[in-house]
Amino acid sequence: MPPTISKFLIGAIVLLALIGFADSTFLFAKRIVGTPIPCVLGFSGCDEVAKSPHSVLFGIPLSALGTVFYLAIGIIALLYADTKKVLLAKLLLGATTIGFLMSVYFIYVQGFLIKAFCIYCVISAIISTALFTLGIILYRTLPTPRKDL
Amino acid sequence: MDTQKRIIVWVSAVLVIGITAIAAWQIAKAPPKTPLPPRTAGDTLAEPVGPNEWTKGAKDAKVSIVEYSDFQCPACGAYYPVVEKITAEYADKVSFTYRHFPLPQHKNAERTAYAAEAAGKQGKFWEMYSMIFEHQKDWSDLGAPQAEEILLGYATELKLDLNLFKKDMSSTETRDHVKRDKDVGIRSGVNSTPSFYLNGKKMQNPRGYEEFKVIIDKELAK
Repeated sequence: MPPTISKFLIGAIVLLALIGFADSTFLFAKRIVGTPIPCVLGFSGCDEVAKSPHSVLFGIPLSALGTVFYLAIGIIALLYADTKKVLLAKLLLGATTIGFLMSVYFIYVQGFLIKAFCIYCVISAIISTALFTLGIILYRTLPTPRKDL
Repeated sequence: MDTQKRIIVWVSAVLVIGITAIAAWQIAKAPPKTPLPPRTAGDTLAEPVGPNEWTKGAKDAKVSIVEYSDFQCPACGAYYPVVEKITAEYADKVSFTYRHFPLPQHKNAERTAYAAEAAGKQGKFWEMYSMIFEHQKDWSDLGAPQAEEILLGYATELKLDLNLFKKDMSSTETRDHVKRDKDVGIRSGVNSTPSFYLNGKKMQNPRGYEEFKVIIDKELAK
């Protein structure tokens, strides 16, 4: 793969991670401040979702996990750009896979258990999915180890 | 990647993350803005009196009066004693709510509205309201610094915390509040000051205390 495409890929990952980071930080801050979360674009359940018991995992708010998750993705992507270590690309694929699977689960929780969607959570799910896709693409650009006979 | 480029990338990454986090935090911290109500036909209040407004008189009164007023408008100043007399006499039957409608041609209208709001933050809205109206002539024609000084004098007289008063007078929250009052007023069909609304309906400005009394008595008898 030409290096420009790889650069573009990493740039996209970093940018998406940054948007996800802003999104999660906003939700986390809202949780701490305690003011209701205004919905936009026709969504109506932002507050309901963000304050539901499903919004906490092992005592940690999901928004806080999201903040750390996106921060980690961004840092790993930058580290990869810096060092080009194959392990980092693999790590990125692993992390984005977990993010994607969790997002699928959260969309299920919103749709079937809470029966309300929060736009900031949906945005996060979309970003996670995009990151997962980019993670796969990046992984596939890695040189395949040659088997010496 | 060479060292210099590496430093630039990581330093900017840290900066961008920091700025993003602070921005997200600030947005989350900002008080939620209540959306403006839709415009009415021009003769009814676009928004009923809420719990966080400057209202005096009876609670759950049968008759509620809302006045859209500008502290610098001479007519509002002329109505001030009438309103005072009415609210005193009907204190247990009528509620009176003051909403800001500072007009652009009055250079100290906004400033005085901010002063009343800032005094209200310290529980003395009505005291400042009276002070401002009673001395309307003293400050109406003054430039900004002198008018500011006079208002600070009122705050001192009312024994307000002056630093807090100054801070509240210039806060975005105060400005937003006054602006919102005016925006709702425009949507309620206010086109001059003072404009009075009796139980949500715009009323013809009474010609004086007696006429005001008759109108209220009629409404109370309903």
